[in-house]
Amino acid sequence: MKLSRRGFLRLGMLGAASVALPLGRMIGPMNELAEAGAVTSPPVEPFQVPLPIPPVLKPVRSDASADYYEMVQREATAEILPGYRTTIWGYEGIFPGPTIEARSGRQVIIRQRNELPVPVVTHLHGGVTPPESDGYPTDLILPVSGHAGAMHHHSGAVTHGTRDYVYPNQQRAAMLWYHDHRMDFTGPQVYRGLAGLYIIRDEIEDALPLPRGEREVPLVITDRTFTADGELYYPSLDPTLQGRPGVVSSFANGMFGDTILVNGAPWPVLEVGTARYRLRLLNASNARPYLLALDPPPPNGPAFIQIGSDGGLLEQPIPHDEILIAPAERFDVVVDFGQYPVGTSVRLVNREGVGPTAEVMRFDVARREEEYSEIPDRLAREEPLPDPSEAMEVRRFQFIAGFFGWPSTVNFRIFDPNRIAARPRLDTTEIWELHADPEHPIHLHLVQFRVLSRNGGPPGPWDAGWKDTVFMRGGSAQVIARFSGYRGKYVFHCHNLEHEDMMMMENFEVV
Amino acid sequence: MTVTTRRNAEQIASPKIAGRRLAVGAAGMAFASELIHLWVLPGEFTLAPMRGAFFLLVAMAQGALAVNLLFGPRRWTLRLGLILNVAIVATWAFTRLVGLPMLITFVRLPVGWLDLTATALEIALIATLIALRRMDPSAVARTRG
Repeated sequence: MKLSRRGFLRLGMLGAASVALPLGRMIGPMNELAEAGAVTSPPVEPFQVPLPIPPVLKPVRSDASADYYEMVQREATAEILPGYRTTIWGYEGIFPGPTIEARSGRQVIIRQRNELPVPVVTHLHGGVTPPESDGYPTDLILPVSGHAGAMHHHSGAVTHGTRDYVYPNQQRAAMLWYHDHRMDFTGPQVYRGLAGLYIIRDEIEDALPLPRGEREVPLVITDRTFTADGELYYPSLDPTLQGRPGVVSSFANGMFGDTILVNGAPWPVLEVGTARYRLRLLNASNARPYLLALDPPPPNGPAFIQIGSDGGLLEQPIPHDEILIAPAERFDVVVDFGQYPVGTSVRLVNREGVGPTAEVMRFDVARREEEYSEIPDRLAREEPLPDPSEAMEVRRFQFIAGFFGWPSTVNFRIFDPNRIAARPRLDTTEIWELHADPEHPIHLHLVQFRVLSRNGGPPGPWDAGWKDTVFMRGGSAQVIARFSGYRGKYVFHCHNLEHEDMMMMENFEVV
Repeated sequence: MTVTTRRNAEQIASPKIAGRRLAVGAAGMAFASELIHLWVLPGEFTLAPMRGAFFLLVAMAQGALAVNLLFGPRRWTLRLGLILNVAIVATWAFTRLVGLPMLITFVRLPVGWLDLTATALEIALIATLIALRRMDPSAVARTRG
């Protein structure tokens, strides 16, 4: 068959326009997908790095009613993996950020200054906070440099350079945490290091003979993956975080790192004495839950005595051999290292982990120490459960993860900052029935709630106390909350941060 | 006599020129639609391979349509181009008005300026293809070389 010059031209253009050009455009994303699945961190020998403790930030000034802090969010380098320099984004340039120690009833005002190249938002997780300081996802602080970066949503209260967050702390003693909450980019920005502890104390807790001082140890557990040169690896569609949000499809169900960090150090080690230690656990990972246990377990009695939850002290201590801690959850536990002989190494392990993620850190029982602490049978003042019969509303929310690129949804709707899913009245009680598929840590801003039931049965073993995050592996849970504190618009969402960034969030407005 | 012949020739030529211009315009719109789909393809594919594959198929089909429109399209090319673009516009409208099918329900997708531009182009392309179909086939077709 003879091909004319015109026919040849037509065939050539057809091949170029309908085959070569489109398929050529596929090379980049195909490579990106292949590379994303192949990144593994440089090998690190576990239990070589001493456990760092985040420093406590001092107020720049105080007056009769408030403490004033200033915090700069900036880029810095840190030696996270021994021998490697890692670029992080940190509050005060460190990861985790400095700890804020607050007193119940005493106001804290933090001026956040954004020296990063992208907008930020700071949320005090677990805080009973007025809406203008809660860190609503579109209430952005633009960079001091003036460069706005991505502005996908314009409905928020935007400030330039700095913002003052006011935390009244009209709540009981509890370990909260602050972290970035920027619309569409919370996952990568927390992953780069924008998270820190915020501990509220009160007289009730002070009066208890619990371990304190060096025997009260905060443990911020995270997982990260590093590139071969020691930089943090996060599979953003746009690594500048200034354009398109989201992660490559293989990470749509969450960024699971292969290196476990505690207080920013890989599989660290802490020397302890033969005494009780209060471990204040926070899972600040983007998506990974941990089933924590001690190996070897103590010869007598349970591994952990739980004394507190997200919302502060329990009324009574609860023994556990294992603790399932989901992203954003906190557990306040006491471990009695007096049950181990000096010279014992006790590993904190993750029974849901495989390979390196099965280890968390190690405690070396290094010395004899006198015991001064006790775990009283009665911890917090008894606070009766909100009465379910007084619930003004029973609302139902279904959290379904996106798959094959479908968005993650609440009640089959993606997040819209302008839509309100629930309008509870101030100082009223509501029951929220949460359904999750397949696995979601669900977090409500503003309120602390109690878990009433799971799948129609009693609450689970890790549901005790006041909570702001409930972890669900399928099925349903009923939680009861009293919407007190402030009127205004807040969000509730999945705290798997990749799900959250993929729109698994809704608004409620206290009216 | 000479004047009359020239007029006749112009009368015959003008539908042909109009047809050619319409076909080239339609090819440009199809190619622009292809480029928009290719522009978003990498992000869509890495975010959601199935959606990316859909964008790839749309881009390939629009590219093939554009080239065929340039080289004297036949009736079936116009018909297929119409079907293709009506399907693309209908899919876009469905996912924005009703939603993307998800389990037992639909999730509405947001409207962006880029997809809006592509849809506007495709609607214009549909109108152009309809106009081309109404023309005398000889006004659209180019002489075979």
